Amino acid sequence: MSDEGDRADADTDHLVITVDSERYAGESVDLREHTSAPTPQQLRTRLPREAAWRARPEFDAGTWFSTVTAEPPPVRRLAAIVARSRGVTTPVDDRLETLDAALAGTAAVDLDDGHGEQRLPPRQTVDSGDSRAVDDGDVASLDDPAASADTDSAASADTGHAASADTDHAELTAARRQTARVGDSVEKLRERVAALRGELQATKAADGETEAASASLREAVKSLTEAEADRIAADQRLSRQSRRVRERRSALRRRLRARDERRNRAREARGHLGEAVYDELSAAMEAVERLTERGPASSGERPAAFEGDRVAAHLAAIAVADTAEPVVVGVEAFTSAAEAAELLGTPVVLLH
Amino acid sequence: MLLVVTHTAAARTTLRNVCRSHEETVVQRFGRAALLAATEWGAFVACRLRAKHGTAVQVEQTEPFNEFRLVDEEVREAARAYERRETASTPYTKFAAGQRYPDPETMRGEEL
Repeated sequence: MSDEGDRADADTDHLVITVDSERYAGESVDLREHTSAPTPQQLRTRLPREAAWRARPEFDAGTWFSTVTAEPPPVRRLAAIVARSRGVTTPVDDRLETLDAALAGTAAVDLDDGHGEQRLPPRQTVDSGDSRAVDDGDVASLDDPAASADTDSAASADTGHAASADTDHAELTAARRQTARVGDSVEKLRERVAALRGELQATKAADGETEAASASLREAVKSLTEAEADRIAADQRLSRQSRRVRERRSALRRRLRARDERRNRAREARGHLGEAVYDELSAAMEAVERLTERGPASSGERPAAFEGDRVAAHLAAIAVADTAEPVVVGVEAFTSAAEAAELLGTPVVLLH
Repeated sequence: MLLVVTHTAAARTTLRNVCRSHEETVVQRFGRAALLAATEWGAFVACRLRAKHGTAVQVEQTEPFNEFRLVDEEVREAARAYERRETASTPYTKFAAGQRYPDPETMRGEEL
């Protein structure tokens, strides 16, 4: 949420930019004539940032509201962020917060019927599912900060999960192998004990010398007892390992379910938010069109129905959003920086 | 353990309710199925479901699978080797042909 006080901040209101030791200063700056002007991204890092409004993570706007390039972000996402910046809330916000907390591993919540009291594991158990591929149909461009942030965290989370899954797999495999091996030797020893017992009885029946045979039998019985103890230990170890893996699987499943639900709720929220500000956004698009001749052929009834110049929509979104961050405009649209600043309501740097 | 699979919506609802009230007996829950502990109580729960929903409830007795106890080394080795194959699209039959790996038909004919 923008604080009116930030707009008066001398740092954001009065820009001072030095390019090749030439100094540009003012409420807005036109660098279009400068031959070796920096790229929008380079320039962006040199301008003051306004940390005043913070959207929810899934609406994380990155530099969307401080840089306009020929590759504008998706209109649906822009509209949702604009609404967030204006303090619009949705009926699913509480649920989103709960899910976010759960996915961040900071809260025990009811994500599953019947297993509500179980605490979710820390973040590294995210599955390798490609969240971008199954996103709600928004085409996530490569410079989409929200999408790439998602992918990054999913990727690092995968590594964590893969590591613990590998360990689990190795340990469980070793436990199964051990159980099988010990079980085998128990079977063999049982057979041996039975055979020796038979021999001993035969020797006894024949009134022969039993000393050697009973010594062998005693020895075999002792080995069998030891092997049986080993087998019990191995079985216990295996069932302990199996239980642990099962718990991890359940946690993973709950997490996946939470992630799916979060995606669905976020989509609902975006729809709600987009509609809340879309009239205003459409009006701003018309204003952009009047001033720059970059117009939406049709802004449509809803963000999803938008068909038109996405750069115009991007400019309109910045104009309507409650932000006073300086904006670097790297597209052909305005005749002067002052005109752009007037329309966008923020300090502007024009680049070629 | 007892694997209970439900085949109608009504049976599924009962299963869900049962799982909710007998959590200690439910080893794992899936959408329309559940693994119940191999106890008399687990069996009681399974029998109840059967009594209520008849053939819409399938109950199987399961045992943990230990490949080292049940499966010959050559089969395990073939599985490992096939998972390490270079070309993902190679079917197993082709992969095993002319190699020391068992062929699918033989394996299909061998009871565990």
